[in-house]
Parts: sequence; structure tokens; C-alpha cells
Amino acid sequence: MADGGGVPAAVGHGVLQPADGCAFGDREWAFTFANYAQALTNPTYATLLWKSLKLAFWVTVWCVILGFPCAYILARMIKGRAREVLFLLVILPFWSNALVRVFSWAIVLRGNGVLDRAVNAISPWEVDLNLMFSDTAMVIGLVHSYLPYVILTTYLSLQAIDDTVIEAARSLGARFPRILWRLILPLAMPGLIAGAVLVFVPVVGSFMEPRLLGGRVGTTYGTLIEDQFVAVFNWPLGAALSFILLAVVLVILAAASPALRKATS
Amino acid sequence: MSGVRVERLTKAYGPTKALEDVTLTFPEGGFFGLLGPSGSGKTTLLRAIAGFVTPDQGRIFIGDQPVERTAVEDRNIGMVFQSYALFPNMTVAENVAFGLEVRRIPGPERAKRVAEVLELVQLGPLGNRRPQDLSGGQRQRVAMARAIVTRPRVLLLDEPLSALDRALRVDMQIELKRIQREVGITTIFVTHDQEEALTLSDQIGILKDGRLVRHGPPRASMTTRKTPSPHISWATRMS
Amino acid sequence: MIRHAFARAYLGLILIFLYAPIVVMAVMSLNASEFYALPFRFSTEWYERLFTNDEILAAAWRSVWIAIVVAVIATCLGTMATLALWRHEFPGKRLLQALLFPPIAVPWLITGTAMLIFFFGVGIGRGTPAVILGHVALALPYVIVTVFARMQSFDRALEEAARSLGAQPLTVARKVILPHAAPGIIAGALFAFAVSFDQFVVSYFLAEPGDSTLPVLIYSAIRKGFTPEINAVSTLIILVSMAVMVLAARYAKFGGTR
Repeated sequence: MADGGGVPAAVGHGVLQPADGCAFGDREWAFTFANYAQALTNPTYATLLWKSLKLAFWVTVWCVILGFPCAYILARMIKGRAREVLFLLVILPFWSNALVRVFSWAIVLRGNGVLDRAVNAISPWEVDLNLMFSDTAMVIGLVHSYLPYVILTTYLSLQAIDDTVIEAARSLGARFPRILWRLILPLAMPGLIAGAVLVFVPVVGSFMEPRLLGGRVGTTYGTLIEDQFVAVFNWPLGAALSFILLAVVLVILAAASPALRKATS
Repeated sequence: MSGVRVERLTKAYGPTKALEDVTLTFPEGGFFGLLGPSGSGKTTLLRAIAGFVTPDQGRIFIGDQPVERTAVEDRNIGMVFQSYALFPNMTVAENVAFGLEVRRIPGPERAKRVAEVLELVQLGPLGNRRPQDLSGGQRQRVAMARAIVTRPRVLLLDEPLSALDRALRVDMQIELKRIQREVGITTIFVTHDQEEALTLSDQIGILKDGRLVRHGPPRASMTTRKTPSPHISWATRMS
Repeated sequence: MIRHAFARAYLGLILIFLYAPIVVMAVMSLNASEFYALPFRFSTEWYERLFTNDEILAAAWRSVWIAIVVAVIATCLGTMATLALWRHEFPGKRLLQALLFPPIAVPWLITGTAMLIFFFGVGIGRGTPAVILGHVALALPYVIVTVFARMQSFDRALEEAARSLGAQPLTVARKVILPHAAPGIIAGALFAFAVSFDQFVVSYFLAEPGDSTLPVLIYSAIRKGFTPEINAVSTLIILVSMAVMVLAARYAKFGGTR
């Protein structure tokens, strides 16, 4: 949290509002809870917050479902130079520009776009995928952006599992499904939870991906906050909304922390 | 319970031969010590019997049944690893119960057998502990209990005492022998410690560079430990 | 063996998922049609247009030099901070280390808007200085983590040996400690460059409208409508940041030691 000064400033800004309502300037400051009252009571805001939480939930679920097998294969089935190269290939996109990657999905998904035409070229009848500007498009783009996090953290905890522990289970007669369920999953849990947190937190606050891939259905709590700062210039309300988002995230993290502690003990 | 026999067993890793034409019978109910320096092939032989290593040539019998093509999971063996390999996410009792769970032993009988075997290894009250909270000797006992509770056909021990300090090791040798006598299970024991092999084994096999160089009862295959013969001086140097 | 075949196929599908859209984008940037029409006809028209588009060129240049400035500042500060954390015990050290860890519990959006309000509050306001300060704050933890990891392998006896031979502390730092830390510092600088060059959210809130970095410019351009020029510039950005990361990954493994 290197931006230590920033977050408290935002908190403060939610309650301190220039008297004449203008965003900022050398004006008098007045203390008010009005912004928080507005942010908390407006039902539209609550709906959007709920929508963002659901979006983050589904993106996290998909990242875990897709990422775990990938991490398992990398950590426990592939060895040597091949593993090094594949591992770099998997985490490389994560270090490249997030905006550009979302844009590339827009090209693939848009109506009459590449995916549409590829599917129609194979399919005998007309298929209208129409994925662009939908919840599905948002989930696809966000999973693409955050999948490497889950793979990375899960890979680390899977790699730490002692091979002889697996051998011991086999010598006792256990087959792969049971070993997976009783040993590998529990032992990988700290990595999976850490990865899930790393996905969930930024996705709750995402605005660029919903904006570009969700279009009109892509209004989320994140785009609501964005608008307060860049479109309607109601910074105090934006700050109040930001702080509520931060509080929700911290509450979720706090709720997850017993599970995290249990999983790491 | 059954004896074990390997015939003309060969295994190579690239140019190095880990096992070369090894033929050996491990008698039923006996305690057989496999002795040799590191790289002699003794661990490869044990892992081939367990099924973790697939031999290039040769046959392995557990009882009368050939097992070269049987997966580890289906060989019905018990194994104790050098690092014990206890399941860190389970309690002592859960560790011991694991093999019974796999064999679908019903709950009440499972609990009874776990309690019995923990009693046998003198860990009765520690069932709810986690492996991380146990001492080295206690972990060793858990690993033993876990390996024998399923009543396997053969018990394989891969340097089970080498992680313990000297004083504890002597105690555990006596323990190990007592448990093996009580259960009466065919046991194959890998060690590089000659004295340990002599103390514990009914029969000994000595491996060097992947070959079986001698085998037989401990006092016939080598002289008493007070006057080691020149033939086994390498084993003394190892320990 | 069957399991291994499945495993490879699965990894292949994941890699396709990760790379296919990027490849499509790159291919389309070389397609003559403005509407991504097929069949594909090769053309470098969009790249040519790109290099005559002053707005994009200015933003690209701004992005690059901001990233360089950020890398230099973050690397200097980060290296000094790491060496202090590594060599000395002082009260509050653990707290400081925790605070210097990458901020995972705060969504980017909140970091960005909070910085905006903060910079206005202290009188810096929007603009390039704010962008640089913001990026330095974001990049600093990555430099510290990377350099710290490198220093873990330093044998302190070397420092003592140098001192016993009469070397002054500054000489020791220059001749013994810095050469050891160098691969970590280079990797840290590359990470810092990448963090700044690829940063969108924080730049978006801190940049002055007429003075934006490349990602911010692309974002507003996309919202107005797609053009193959954005394709072309996006492809170039991906190539640059991936190249930087491959380099950083090589140094992060600390070159000669493996």
C-alpha cells in the first residue's frame, strides 16, 4: 500500500465538501455525511454494487476452475525446460497491457467479428453468437485478464507438495480422484484462496473491462465511480462510493481470513 | 501375508545400471534387511517391489502372484518412507485411517482398527494431533501404524530410522522389531547402517553397484559385528 | 500416458485462450480492410498511418519517457530502501515492510481516484508530475521485492572480509554489495518500466486530458469507435511490454547464477 496518503484522503473527501458544491478549489470546507447518505440509500447504487459483486464472484469461480488444472499440470506433470517455457508463456500476458488485451477481445467478440465468422464458417446453419456487449463478454475478458494470478499462486502451493506424500497415498491404495480430493486440493487451498482474493478484489472495482466489453449492460459500480470523477465531476460522491467499495472489500477479506488462516495452518 | 520373490531384475537409468540381474527371495513372515551404500540399488529394488519403479526386465512375485504389471495402488503393500510422508492436512488418526477409508471399511470397524494399531505403536492418546506437532520418533510410529493397519501382504521400509538421532534410533529398532513380531508381516527393510541391519534382520542381502553381492542369515553372510570381515568393510565405512 | 496427452491438450487450450485474441489483433492490424473483412489482404497501411498520427506519436513518446523516469526514480528509491531494510534493524521495520508490499487489498479504481483527490488536496493537481508520482508509488513495491529477493543470496562474510582488508564502507557498497545486487536492480528497473508503461487506471485519473499517456489515449479512442490504427498501436504495445518482461524474467532469475 504504497499510496498510503491517498486512501485516507478519499475517505476524508467523502465527508468534506466544498460549500458551493464545486469539485475542488480554494473554497471553504464543510463537514457533511450527505454524500454517504446518498451513496448508501440510493437503490440504483446498491443494485450496481450487487452486480459488481456477482460479476467478481463469477470471474473468480471461472478463474479457479480453469486455473487449477493448469497449475496442477505445470507444477506436477511437466518438468525441466518445458515447464520453464510454458510457465513463462502462461504468466507473460499478465504482465502485458490489460487495456490492450481487453481491446483484443472486443475485436474477437464483436458482432460479425472474428469469432462470429469462424463459427459460421464451420457451422452448417446460421449462428448468431452476439457475445459482444453482454455479461458473457465481460466475464470472458476479465477471466482472461486475471487467470494468470490464480495459476501463479496455485502453482506455488502445488509445487510445495512433497512427492513422497502422494506416493504414500498410492501405496495405501488410493487412486487419483481420491488423492486429488483428500490431499492435493486441501494442500493447494492456501494458493487457491490467495489467487481468488487477488482476482476478486480488482474485479469488484473494474470499470474499463465492463465499459469496453459490456457496452450498455456494462454499467457496474466501477463505472459509476468512474463517471463521478470523469463525467459528472461529483468527486465527493465518487469518494464516498469508493470508500464504501473499499469497506465492502475489506469486510469480504476479513470474512475470508479465517478460511485463509485455516488453510495455511 | 506372503513372501516376495524377484527374478533377474534389471533397471537402468540411461547408462547407469541401478539394478543388474538381481534374483532374491524374501521369506514369508521374515525381516529382511537390504544393505548397501547409496547408489547401490537397494532403494531402487524396494521401489520396484512397491511399484514406483518399473523394471526393464525380470519378474516380481508377491506370494504366487506376478505383479510387474500391477499398479502401486493394487499391490496391497504397506510402505514407510524415509521422510515418513505423513499427510500434513490430516490428524494422526485420519492419517492411519486413510488406507481403511480407501478400502471402504465401515466407520465403526475403521475406528476400532485405528485405535488398536495406535495402541500397538503406543500412540493411543495422540490421535487428534497433527503430524507437525509430533516428535520425530512419534512421526515414525504414525508412519508404521498407517502402513500396517491395512494388513498388507508385505511391509516395505525405506531407511525408516535414518532421520532420528542415535539414542532414539536404538529405541526405535527395538520397537520396530517388536511390532513386526506381533504382526508377523513379511518385512523388507532398506538401510545403509550395517549394525542396524544386523540387529533387526533374520536375513540380509548386500547390494553393490546394482548387483546382489551376498545374502543369507546375518551371522553367516558376515562375521559378528565385533570383527568385521574384509568383505564388508565398505559397509562399515558407509555408516 | 493418456493422462499426459489430456494434460498437454488442456494446456494448449489455455494458451490458445490467452494468446488467440492477441494474435487476432496483430493479424488484423496487417489486414487492408478497415472493417476487418476477410479474406485477409496484407497491408502495412495502418502502421504507416500510425507513424503520421501526431496525437498517437506524442502519447507514445510521453508513455515511454514517463516509464523511463519512473524506472529511474523507483529503482533508486527502491534500492536504497531495500538496502536499509536488509542491513539495519530499526523500530517499525516490520510495519514498513508490510506497507511496502504491493497493494493487493485495494482495487485499482480506488487507488486511482484516491491519488487524484490526494494530489489535488496537496496542490499538485492533475498532469504529468502527478502521473509520474503515482507510477513511482505503484512501481516501488515491485523494485523492493525484486532487489530484496536478490539480496537474500548475499554472503555477509564477503562484506566483513572487505572491511577487514581495509575497505571503507562506501567502497564496500560500490565494489561488493552493488555488483551482487545488480541483476536484481536491473530486473527491478524493468519491472518498474513495465508497471508504468502498461498502467492504465491510475494514469487515466491523473493525466490531463490533452496530455495523456498511450493507454489512456487508446481507451478514449476505443470508446469513440474501433479503427485499425488502434489495432496497430496496441500490437506494438504488447510486443514492447512482452519483450521487457522476458528480459526482466531473465534477470530476475539472476543471470549467471543458474
